[in-house]
Amino acid sequence: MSNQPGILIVEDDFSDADLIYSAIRDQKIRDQIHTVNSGEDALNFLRRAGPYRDAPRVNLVLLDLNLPEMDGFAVLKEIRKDPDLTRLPVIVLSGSERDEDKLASYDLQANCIIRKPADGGQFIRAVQMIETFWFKIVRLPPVP
Amino acid sequence: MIEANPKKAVKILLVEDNEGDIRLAQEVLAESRLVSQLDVVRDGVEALAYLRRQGRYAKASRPDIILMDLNLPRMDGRELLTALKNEDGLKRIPVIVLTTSQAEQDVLRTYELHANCFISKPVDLEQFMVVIKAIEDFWFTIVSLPTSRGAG
Repeated sequence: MSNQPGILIVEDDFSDADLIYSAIRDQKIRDQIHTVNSGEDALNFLRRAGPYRDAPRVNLVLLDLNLPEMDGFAVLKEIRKDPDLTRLPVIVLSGSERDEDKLASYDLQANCIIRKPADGGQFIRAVQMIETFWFKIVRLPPVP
Repeated sequence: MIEANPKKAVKILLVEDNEGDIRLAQEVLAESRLVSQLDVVRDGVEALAYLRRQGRYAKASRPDIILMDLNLPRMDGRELLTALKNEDGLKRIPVIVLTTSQAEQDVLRTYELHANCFISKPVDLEQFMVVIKAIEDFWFTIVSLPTSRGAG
């Protein structure tokens, strides 16, 4: 049931990205966390394009919806359209309270949607539950 | 519980033909306060009829989440996934694949067909209970399911 980890965090809010990183308990997983802060960079990273030519492969994406210019929906759409990326599990971490955003994410085949808890302690616990479920229970696709 | 307001109880559709696994899942999930309904269908054809509310399933309720095996009689899990992830209204329902298959090929194919996650079904009884509990803890508490409303 163990997975070789590789996580890409797509988050423009540095304090949220930092919180996610520091909430992960397993050092082996933490060592494989990569962060980008825009949708364009996320796709470049995943496609190893431009400055990300040597980017490592990942098998899980944590995606914020609210990003500058290219938003999370557009990133998700591109991932699902790309035959090399389509199977990549994407967890949407969203600050949005809107039901439409949640439904649109599921329709675009996000693997699950989690609302970012406003409370820091709850946010940390949510990240740790992601860690437990996706790295101890789920079998992720192997890192290519 | 991660959030202050309790979640609405969850309705589950279990697609499974192994009677032992059905009983086990029923036992674990029946105890859960988070589960309000667990319906069982035993093959892919029945699952689609249930989800499309056809025939004797005309009054079936829409499940919040689907738990399914890959190896099913009549229509297997891969065909079932293909059908429901291409159908508006059904494609947004999260699907957890719970299967004894360990084949990497199956893992890749399952994600390619946009199952929401792949879990290898443990043969050990205690481990099986751990997995069901973990599904509950993650999907029914911190995830915003498509059918939950408001702050959920």
